[in-house]
Amino acid sequence: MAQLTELVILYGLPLIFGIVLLEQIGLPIPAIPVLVVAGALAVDRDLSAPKILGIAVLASVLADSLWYWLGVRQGQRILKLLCRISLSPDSCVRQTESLFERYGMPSLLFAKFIPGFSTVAPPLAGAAGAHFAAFLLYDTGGALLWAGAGVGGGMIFHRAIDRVLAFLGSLGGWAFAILAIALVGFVAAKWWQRRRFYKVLRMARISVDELRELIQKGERPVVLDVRTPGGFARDPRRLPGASVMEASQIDARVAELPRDREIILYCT
Amino acid sequence: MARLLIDRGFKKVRPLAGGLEAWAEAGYEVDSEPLITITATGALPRPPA
Repeated sequence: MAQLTELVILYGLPLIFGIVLLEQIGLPIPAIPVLVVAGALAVDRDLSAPKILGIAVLASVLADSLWYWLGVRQGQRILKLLCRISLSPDSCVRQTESLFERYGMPSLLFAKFIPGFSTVAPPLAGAAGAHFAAFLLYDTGGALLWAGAGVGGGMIFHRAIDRVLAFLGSLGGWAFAILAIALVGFVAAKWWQRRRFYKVLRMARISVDELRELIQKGERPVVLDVRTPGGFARDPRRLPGASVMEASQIDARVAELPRDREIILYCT
Repeated sequence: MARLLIDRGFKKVRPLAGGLEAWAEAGYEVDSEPLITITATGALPRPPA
């Protein structure tokens, strides 16, 4: 274990660069604990905190720039690709976009602290046509805050972290087993966080199973078929009990809709 | 459309994920008989054959 610490000190900067780069590309790798340990080692051993911070920011901005560039090149398609991985494809692009739309470029400042949004924000900025200089400014700011929180935390709590490292050192081979378990736990937690984040994004919509359940429970939601006449002509089927209402009719027929029941809209 | 309704003060509005196709694909029942609707202009569409 002491050798591991030596290794971190010896190859610290390239190691930090690699881990942060991979994490920011989207892999579930624990970059923050590495930054925290590096911060602690910066206080007690021969590692430079500004260098750690600099290399972490560089790696982070590099990975984000890659996503930004993909966003510029692919536009909306990159978001669809991102969404296809975990989200319902038709809605998620708009909903993630609205998160970005609401806060604009400054959302890059805090994007790294929101699980899931971290990887989505840079390609969104690219797809939204943000200037690279502005992107670079905000993204660097966000990376500084994020890496700074990790390294700063390590520096503040260096005594406690040293004790943990010393304890791991005394365990010998077991230390690796504990670290391996911690890593597995981290990846699982990250996966769960990501799932939860996507669930929040998806929550504004109702799934077919949920709607079916709602109807069966007797909650009588108002089901509106909002397809255009063209769409209706192509497929005349409707959900049971659905009313047909086009967007253009909305003001003329708004009084028909009850305000105390849930309204479910659907199109093709 | 959901946005339009929310703007008009409806609080519980949700679009159906996947739409009609997802509903039909899940094997749930659909109405397929022709529907008579009154359009905004008041014109009646073609009656069912």
